[in-house]
Amino acid sequence: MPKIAQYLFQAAAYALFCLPIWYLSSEPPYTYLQPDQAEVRLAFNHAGQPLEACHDRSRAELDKLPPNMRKARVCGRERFPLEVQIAVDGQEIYRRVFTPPGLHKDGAVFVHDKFPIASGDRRFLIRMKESPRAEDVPLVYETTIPAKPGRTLLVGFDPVKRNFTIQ
Amino acid sequence: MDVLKAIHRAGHSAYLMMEERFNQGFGNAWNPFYHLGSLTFYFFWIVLVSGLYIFIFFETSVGQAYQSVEYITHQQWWLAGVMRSLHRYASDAAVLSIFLHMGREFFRDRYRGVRWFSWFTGVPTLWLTVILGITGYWLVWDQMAQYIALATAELVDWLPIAPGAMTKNFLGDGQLSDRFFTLMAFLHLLAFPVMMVFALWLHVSRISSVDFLPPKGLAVGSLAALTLLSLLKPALSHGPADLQNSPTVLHLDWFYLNIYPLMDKYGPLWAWVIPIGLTLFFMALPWLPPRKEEPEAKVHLPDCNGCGQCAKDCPFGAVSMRPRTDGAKFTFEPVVDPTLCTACGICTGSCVSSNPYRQADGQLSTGIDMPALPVEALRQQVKSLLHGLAGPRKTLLIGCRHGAEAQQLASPEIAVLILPCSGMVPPSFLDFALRQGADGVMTTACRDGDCYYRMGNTVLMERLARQRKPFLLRRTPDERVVMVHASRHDLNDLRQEVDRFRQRLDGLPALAHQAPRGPEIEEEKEEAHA
Repeated sequence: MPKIAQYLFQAAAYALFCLPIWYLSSEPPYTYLQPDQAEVRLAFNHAGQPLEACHDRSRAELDKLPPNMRKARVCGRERFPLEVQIAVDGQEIYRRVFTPPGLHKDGAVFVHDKFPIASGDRRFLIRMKESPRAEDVPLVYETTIPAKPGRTLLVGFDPVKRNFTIQ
Repeated sequence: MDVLKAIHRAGHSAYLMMEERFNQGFGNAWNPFYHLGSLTFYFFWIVLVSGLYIFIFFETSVGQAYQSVEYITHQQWWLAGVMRSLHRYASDAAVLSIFLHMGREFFRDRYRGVRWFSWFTGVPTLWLTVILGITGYWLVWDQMAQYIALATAELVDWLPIAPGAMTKNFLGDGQLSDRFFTLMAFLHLLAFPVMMVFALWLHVSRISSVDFLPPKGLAVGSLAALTLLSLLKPALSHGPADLQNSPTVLHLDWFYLNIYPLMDKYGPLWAWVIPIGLTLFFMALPWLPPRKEEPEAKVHLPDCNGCGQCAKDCPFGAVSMRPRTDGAKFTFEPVVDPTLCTACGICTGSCVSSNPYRQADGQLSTGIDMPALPVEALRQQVKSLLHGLAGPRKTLLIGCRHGAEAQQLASPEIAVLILPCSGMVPPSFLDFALRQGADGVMTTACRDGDCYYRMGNTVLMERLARQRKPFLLRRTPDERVVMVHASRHDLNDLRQEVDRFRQRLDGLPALAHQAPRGPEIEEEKEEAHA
């Protein structure tokens, strides 16, 4: 191959090598969120109620146990899985059950998830069931939030007030 | 397994076709396909140097990182900006060259048998490269970094170790501390690079004469190309990270960040399963199925003078020298590590004792021999092949298993001897062949710059040029001994070379074909001692 052709070939080869670098280093663009969407991100820690209610042992039950294990009140360790539902403008758009972590399923759940919603003023209804017992009413929170495009709406939980927050 | 062989052949053919074009355009010495490993090292060098420079201006804090990168990109665009772009593009180039390197080694079937180790250790090195890249993108602390940080946190938190521990850092602007950011900087700037150096050392630890840099021309060309790319398309940041907003459209570096869209689509489980599954699959490839190697080289101390040439020539570091154990007057003796020996036979070719004139009436043995094809069998084979030849231009063609299929050129006037590697040919055998009736001897090896056993064709070429021991004997007529490079794709070229060689033989005076006499033997001994 003549020298000039070799130089041209080399230039073309380097260009060919750089072409995928040129393109794939930034293209094609990835749309994480549409421009007219906001993102709801749930992120909070919460422990469900114990699956079994605590109960006191009877005298007969205690007598069967070795003396060092005669604890009068017993509570089950396993906790109820959290069931989170979110409705926006009256329409349920999210429902997920979070199983408690740990070998005995007795840990607090880190509720973490995300999903997009259309931007604009949105009426939120958040409902979380944390107990298997019918008398324990689910936690419910309702509010209207202006969801600006690209905004992250962080759904948290205030353990003191036992209520949700949206920032 | 025929399917695997077919895949190897098809892929190898594709590479050979490309390499042929590149040999014409770059020349064999600069062919980038022959230097993919060293090119990858070189790209890492560029990454290191450019990274060190931009680190001078980089602020490792949440509040200042983005501004410092903006300064690097826009204020000092003419050097720091170019360095930043080089840092990014050389990293991308490294991934590209790694994949080309992996493909080439796979299709050439150089990843199984004794050579499993380099492949096996290379696969996790690729992941280390990716992790290094991800942590680098993180440090810019722009919207893409924010996306990467949150997605990585989700990925890590999905593991049932400490749920939420990492994500909690990114739930609001006030929550991300400089300390966490410094940790990321430490990982990218020190911890992962150190691990990378160790991984690369491990990757090449079972081969010898490793090229850590490509040829100068290729180094200059690649650097120029990447610099030009940096000037034409400078690496830019997205907008500054803002944890109260989510990124919308991202210009991801797909060489490094492809895992995140995968996770967005299929969730963290698959984002773990797919890469880990692929990694395990690739790491297991050397055993799917395993390749059985021929028996390793065997040392025969009575024929060894401990010169160490076999250890110097072994491309895989399988032969090492240790103090003599047999009480002979020599200082060292070679020892073969069977886990490293590919049974290429280059060591046998390098042994001065692999001389067919030695013990001509008895059994020929040498200092280091191949059990699958001992030198005595080689000698007998040469004799018998030449005995069966007819015609005025008897030619011995010595080929290798991985180059052109020389066997197809066999004819009543051309005898073909196939060795595991052409580097197994002891030069004295060429002289021996001429004495045994050949009018000319042609050796053919893999293409110049490319050898299945890394260095077989180079050592043979240097032996024949009398630049590497054992030299081609001085008495051997150069015009009757030639070496040509021919790959599996170059059979027609080889055929033409053979024809041309044989035409040249026509013009030469008839050869006596007689055994060496006293003075010649003395001269040969002197050459051996030299």
